Amino acid sequence: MSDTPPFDMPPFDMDEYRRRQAARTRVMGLGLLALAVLIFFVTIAKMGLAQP
Amino acid sequence: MALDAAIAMPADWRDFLALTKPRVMSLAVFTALCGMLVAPEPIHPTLGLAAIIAIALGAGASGALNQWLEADIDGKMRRTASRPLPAGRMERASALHFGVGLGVFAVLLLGVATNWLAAGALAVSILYYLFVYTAWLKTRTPHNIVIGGAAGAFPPLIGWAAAMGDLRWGAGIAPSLPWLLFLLIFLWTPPHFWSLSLFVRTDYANAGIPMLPVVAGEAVTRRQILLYTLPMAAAAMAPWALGLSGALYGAAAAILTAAFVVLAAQVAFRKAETDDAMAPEKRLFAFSIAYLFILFSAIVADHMLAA
Repeated sequence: MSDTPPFDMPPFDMDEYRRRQAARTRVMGLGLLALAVLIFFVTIAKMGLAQP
Repeated sequence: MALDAAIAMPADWRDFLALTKPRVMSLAVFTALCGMLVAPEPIHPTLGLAAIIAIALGAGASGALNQWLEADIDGKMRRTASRPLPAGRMERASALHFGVGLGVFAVLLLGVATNWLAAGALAVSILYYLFVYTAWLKTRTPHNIVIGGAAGAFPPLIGWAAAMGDLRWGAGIAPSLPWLLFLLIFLWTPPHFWSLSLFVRTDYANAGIPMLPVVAGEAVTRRQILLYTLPMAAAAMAPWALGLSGALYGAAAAILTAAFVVLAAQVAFRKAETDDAMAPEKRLFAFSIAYLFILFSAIVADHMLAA
């Protein structure tokens, strides 16, 4: 059996692969940053509520 | 091994967003926010924001896990065939990991930011939607949407629980306000979905989903739409009748519910063979969405005016 792909299979688009990976990394990074900021402010709010 | 076979194209981040069903999520977030805002004790704004984000993520997790379970069915329906999984833009495992991760994170965030009763209610709503509605009822009974509709009714309860830390029923047989809001969405769901299922009936039939029009026919579905609209109307008027809201909500509920009943009656009594491309059914479906948004806005406005 040959390793070569069938003739009708489109060539793998490495540029598109990298573009998607980069976009997902950016979205994940922004999400984590937003999460860190949210947790920070939640902690501040809960500390404020805990004070008599 | 050839490079082509070794590397799979990763799904676009927009496909993960589509997996969360943003439009369904918006209704859940809005009703949860309303449940939170009508609670007698105000919640700290930061914690309220965190709660809303957690509820949105929980709703998104439900949508993702629903699509993971239903990828085969979605592929058979025109309305859903272009979703990321049936269209082949994403691997099923990715949807599962994304949904589970999002759901667990949402519950933990809500628990940490507010309280564990609200977090528990969010967890129950996700599991109910996934296992009771999607996995169990949807493909087995034409009453799927009646019982399964409870899943969509949880958000105002969760919002209230986030603010108050309790979900007491009320006095005697009279429910408290959050349970009335739950009941309203629960009873609103059948006429809302059955009006949709009347004009996408072929889709459901092709996918083998026993929606009421597929199993019992159009005439029965039309009657059931009107029959369920009547207790829904009672639930919509109940907050005013029980003194849990003021005249503003009472007037809005009376006008909007009267319009809902009229539209439902048009669907119920119309001849099936009328060639109008199901215009009354589409009208009722569109109005039912606006109905819930306006009614919930009205109860919040009424509460704020009274404060």
